[in-house]
Amino acid sequence: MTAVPSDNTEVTEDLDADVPRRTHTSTVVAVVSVVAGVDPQPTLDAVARQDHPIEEIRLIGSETEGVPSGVVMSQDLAEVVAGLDSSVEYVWLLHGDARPRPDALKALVTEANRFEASLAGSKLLVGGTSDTLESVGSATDVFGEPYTGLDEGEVDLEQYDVVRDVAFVSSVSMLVRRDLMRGLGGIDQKLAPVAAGLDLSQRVRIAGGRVIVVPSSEVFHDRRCGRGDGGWREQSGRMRAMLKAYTPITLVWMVPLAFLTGIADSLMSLLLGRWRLGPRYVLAWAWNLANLPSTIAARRNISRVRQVGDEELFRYQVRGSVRLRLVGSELSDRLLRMFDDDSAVTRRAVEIWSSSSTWAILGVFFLLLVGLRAVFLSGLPVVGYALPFGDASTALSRFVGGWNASGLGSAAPVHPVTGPTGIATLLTFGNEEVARSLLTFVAFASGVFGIGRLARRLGVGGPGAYLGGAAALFGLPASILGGGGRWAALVAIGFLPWALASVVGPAATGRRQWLGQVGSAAFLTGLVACFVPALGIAPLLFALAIRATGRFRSRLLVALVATPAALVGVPYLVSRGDLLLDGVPIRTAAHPVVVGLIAVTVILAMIARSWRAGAVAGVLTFGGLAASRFFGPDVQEALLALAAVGLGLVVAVALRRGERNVMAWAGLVGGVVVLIVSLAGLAGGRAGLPPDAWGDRISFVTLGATGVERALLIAPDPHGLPGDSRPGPGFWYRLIDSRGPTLDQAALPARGEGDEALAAAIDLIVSGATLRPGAELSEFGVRWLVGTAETSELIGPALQAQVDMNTFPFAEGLVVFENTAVRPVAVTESGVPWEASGSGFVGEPTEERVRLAFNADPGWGPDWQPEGWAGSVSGRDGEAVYRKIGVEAVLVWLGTALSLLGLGLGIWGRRTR
Amino acid sequence: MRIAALIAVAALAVASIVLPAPREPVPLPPSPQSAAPYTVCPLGEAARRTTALTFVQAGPETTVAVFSAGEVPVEQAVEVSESGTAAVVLDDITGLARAPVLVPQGTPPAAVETILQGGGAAAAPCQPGSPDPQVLLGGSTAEGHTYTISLANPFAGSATVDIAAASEVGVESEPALAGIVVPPRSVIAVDLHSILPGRQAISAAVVTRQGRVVAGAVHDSGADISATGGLVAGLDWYLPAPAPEGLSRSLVLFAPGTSEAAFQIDVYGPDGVVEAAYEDVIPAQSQVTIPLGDILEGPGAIRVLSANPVAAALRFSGEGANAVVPGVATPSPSWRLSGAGRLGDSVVHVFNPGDVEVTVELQAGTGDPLTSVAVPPETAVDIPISARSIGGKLEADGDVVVTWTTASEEGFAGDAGDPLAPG
Repeated sequence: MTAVPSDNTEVTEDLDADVPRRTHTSTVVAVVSVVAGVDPQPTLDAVARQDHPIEEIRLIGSETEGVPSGVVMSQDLAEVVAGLDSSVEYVWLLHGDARPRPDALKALVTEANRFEASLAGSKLLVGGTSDTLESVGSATDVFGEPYTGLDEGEVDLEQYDVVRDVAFVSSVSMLVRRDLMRGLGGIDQKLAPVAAGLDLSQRVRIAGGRVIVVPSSEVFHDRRCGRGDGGWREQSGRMRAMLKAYTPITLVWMVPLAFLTGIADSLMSLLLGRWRLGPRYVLAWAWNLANLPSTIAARRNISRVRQVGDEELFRYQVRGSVRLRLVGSELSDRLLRMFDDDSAVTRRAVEIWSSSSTWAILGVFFLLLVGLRAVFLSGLPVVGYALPFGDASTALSRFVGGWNASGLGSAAPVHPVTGPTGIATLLTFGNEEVARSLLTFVAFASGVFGIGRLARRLGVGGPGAYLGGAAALFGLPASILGGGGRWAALVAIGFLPWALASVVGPAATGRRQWLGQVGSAAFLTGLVACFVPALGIAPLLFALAIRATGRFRSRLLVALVATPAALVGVPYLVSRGDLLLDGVPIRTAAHPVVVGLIAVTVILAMIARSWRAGAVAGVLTFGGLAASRFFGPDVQEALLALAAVGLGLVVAVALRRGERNVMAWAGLVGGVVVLIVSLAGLAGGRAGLPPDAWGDRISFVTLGATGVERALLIAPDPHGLPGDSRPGPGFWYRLIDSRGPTLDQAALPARGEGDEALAAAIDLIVSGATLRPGAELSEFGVRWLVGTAETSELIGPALQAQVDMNTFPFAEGLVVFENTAVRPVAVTESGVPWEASGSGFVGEPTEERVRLAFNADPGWGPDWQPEGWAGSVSGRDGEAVYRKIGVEAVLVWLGTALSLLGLGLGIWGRRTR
Repeated sequence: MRIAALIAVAALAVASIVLPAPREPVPLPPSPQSAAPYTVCPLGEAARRTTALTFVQAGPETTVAVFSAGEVPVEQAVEVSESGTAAVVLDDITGLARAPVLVPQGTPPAAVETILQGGGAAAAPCQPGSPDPQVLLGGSTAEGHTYTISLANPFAGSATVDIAAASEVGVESEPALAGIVVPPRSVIAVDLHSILPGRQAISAAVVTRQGRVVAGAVHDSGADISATGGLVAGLDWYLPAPAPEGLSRSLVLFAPGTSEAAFQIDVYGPDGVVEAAYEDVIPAQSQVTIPLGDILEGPGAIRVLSANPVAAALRFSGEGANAVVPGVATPSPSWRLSGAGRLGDSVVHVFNPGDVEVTVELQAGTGDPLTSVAVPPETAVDIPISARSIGGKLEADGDVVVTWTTASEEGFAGDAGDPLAPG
């Protein structure tokens, strides 16, 4: 045999006595276990008919009457094994409901000797049939769930008739070396039959022995001892077998995963009408807890004979969870059969369920559901830059170059995110809340697959890559962005891996395919540029960086041609020039331990293998995190999104499948820990965003509005306000219009004359120098002054002694004053308000002029005239519109057109594959 | 290449740990608080008594707004003379029994005083109020006396106040004086003589919990009335102390805080300065009444120095006379005396607390000089001012403290001058 020498002399003395087996007829003792309610005589008769000589037949059971002559009755197996003479080489264990063919033992002994196996099992055929297979050795998953690979009722056509190593053989008929049997303490009496076979097989393997199945040894099994397909005793036994066998480091991740798998299995089985799974899992865990002391004792015994690591067990295991695979397959089978009975689709579904990546994706989607649960239940919070989309037509008109009404207005372009969000609102028939939630979910789901694809392009694909998707979406960089309420950047993380993957990979095989690649890259580049404009350059830089690694296939030309689609975000970035390096930064505080953990993980993975992919992941992660300290928020968003994708790749690299050395195992553990730490982002169920701050709480601003009015929001911390804010005397402030905070208002354009006037008015009010602050604010259209609770000390004293702003006591946690002297944003000289229409205003035609409380801009019409910092238009036409097409709008159109053209090209080019 | 990649990743990881977070921007420094852009006359009445508001240095667009029961029934411009003087008789613009008035202020703010006539005579300053406790001194709820506190809230938000009263029996505890809600643009009258009857000497502090009120009080002794505005407690008080014939004078001190206040009284009499002529301790939220005759014979001045904030006033009482003249916290070279002379011939009391002689010029409200007097150091001097509809001003070449009193057939009245801050 091939047993590895052990330091334990007590054990090795027995284990090493294997030399003479090939030269003589091996001595065998047959041990038949009585099955309750089954007459063992047929089994004993079959044993007696064996071609191979049997030294002695033992019957294990409690009944002592009626024992045939020549059969020795024993109470338990341990007693039998302990009493065997050292001349006995093998013990043949048989169940009392088994009927071996006459040559079964001979085949077992012959093959065990030939392959130097320590444990050999028979091929089991279902009793009462001539050729229905029950078992030809089994594999298990990591949780010990058996996997025979046989279909129900599969006929034996000798298709499995080859002696091979297996994870375990059934205890119905197994041949075990006596010395090993004695050294290992025999069969665990606490376990049910199948679990007992699994347990013994694993212990044999850990002790360095081989476990084989001998198909030429055929045994009919009446299955009266149980089929081993369930029952909480079998389940708890399997769990105990794994708890005994694995090293502590494996148990660290196996036990939680087993727990989670049990929950998922129970829940999914409910859909199949099986309610017993849950209680069975509970019983199994409870049984193992109750028997923990004996399990620990057994582990101690195993550790004395351990010759190999867990990887030797993993070699004979299937990936993923057998239970989940089965239940998933059954679910999809039932569903698909409703439409397509036994078709190719159904068979394809079964294949899909057999992939471990499928389970990784399902697992990550389960995490997504957890991480987005509050989004589905109560919608996205309104906080920071996570703001409602607003009216689709208004948003889209602003996106394509209409008036930017944020703050006191500007001709500067709005954030390009208003484009896709406006379209999303249109697609949901104007239900912006549904659009927000759906877009968020789609982006997160896209992120999971995107990281998977990008990792595959970098050679580190597989189930770990999909788990990396969870790390990307909820890990450290994403949590930094989420903490700052940067919703658009979180969505960009979902699309960014696709954009990066579009510039890496095999070259096109033809012109049409190349155009398809360019189109896809252009569309994805434009898409990410819409959410985070600074990311528009990321695919091109990524392609350059990939080329520098010298290994991966970089589509540099594709990236170059596709990058102009990023023009959609360029006008916005140009208008924010001063904020690219300055402004209110995203708080990037990261716990050094977490950063250190990620660093150690990626470095270990790089040392072990995949150094290039690891380098890409590391540079993206840490480069993004480090560089984000030097830039303003618009660039920070891009860098942190890249870091998030990098973190996803770190996990993918660490969890990459394949042979592992010590470093790789350590990297794997690091990857798992990074993944677990990243899951902290699931806690709130809001995609990592803070709780709602400006949603329902500020809904009163829409009440009783006559025309368009504004609210002046005040907070001591700029991060406490929705979107951008401006510094005021002792606090930060910003204006929103009476629709409430919306995404198109999030970014404030550069200060205009009106902003300066507003700053002066606020200073005047806060200094207590005016008795009528409402009058001061009325020219800006401000009806509401809303401060967070912390600002009551700052603005309270000044606003206690004034006569035209009433306190509004119905806003929870806010200090609110209502201006009794308000004048709407668009109002005629006689005080008639005009209503908003798109990015303009409409009202009854009048000979009066209509004042627009926006920063002065001659693009307004008809007949715009300046009035101080604001302006007025003629009321004759009954509408006030902004008609100025600048180069910024042209660039946005161009970028949008290129992106949409790219989408079309991408679809067209893909069809050739 | 592999080593270089490892080093690069490690270096970036270290950088992302050690690099400092971006600098958090800070908001602009808080705005310096401006002088209140308004003043409030809480004691205006238009039915039972005649109330005149006297203005000195008023702007040309001065308006007054009478507020009551949540409304502003009267808001009208004031006819201001070219020299900035004006007088508004409330009976002429409203018939409301209680007619508190809000006066928006310009720069510099006008001096505005409330002059009450009817059942006696009294004068009290119009004030912007304060979020700090406003102390009303020198009242009485003895039999035959009425003492009414007016809580005026001309603002847009409601206010909630507590009244902490103290009398000769000590700190008063009365639930009815706690949590008084004063609605916006309203005045609440609290009759202390009904709630705490029989107190010979009572004072009170109006403590604001929420919002802002302007407090004032009228004490009717049956023969005369006195009116007081809310004083904000301080550590140093100057009180010129005339000695009108036949009237008794007493010094009333009140400590509104939660700590006792040790104090000393320096007396500036005919014989010079006697420092610490009197020392004592005021229990927390209590008052002390000191007969002035015990420490100062004849006219002079006193200065009160305390360890914790107190409010101080002189109460004059006697046959047909009842007045409370508040102390002055800070000497100044410029004073407005808008009510002096409105009730008849009056006396301006000028106290020079410094150690250098000061020359003061008394002017009419128009700015025309009336008289010029040298005030020796640490001395109080009386300067008569004839009857007039609107008082006058006083300019000095050093810091002085100024009050005025009027003795007429209607009664005895007086008030502190209104200092004009430099610039």
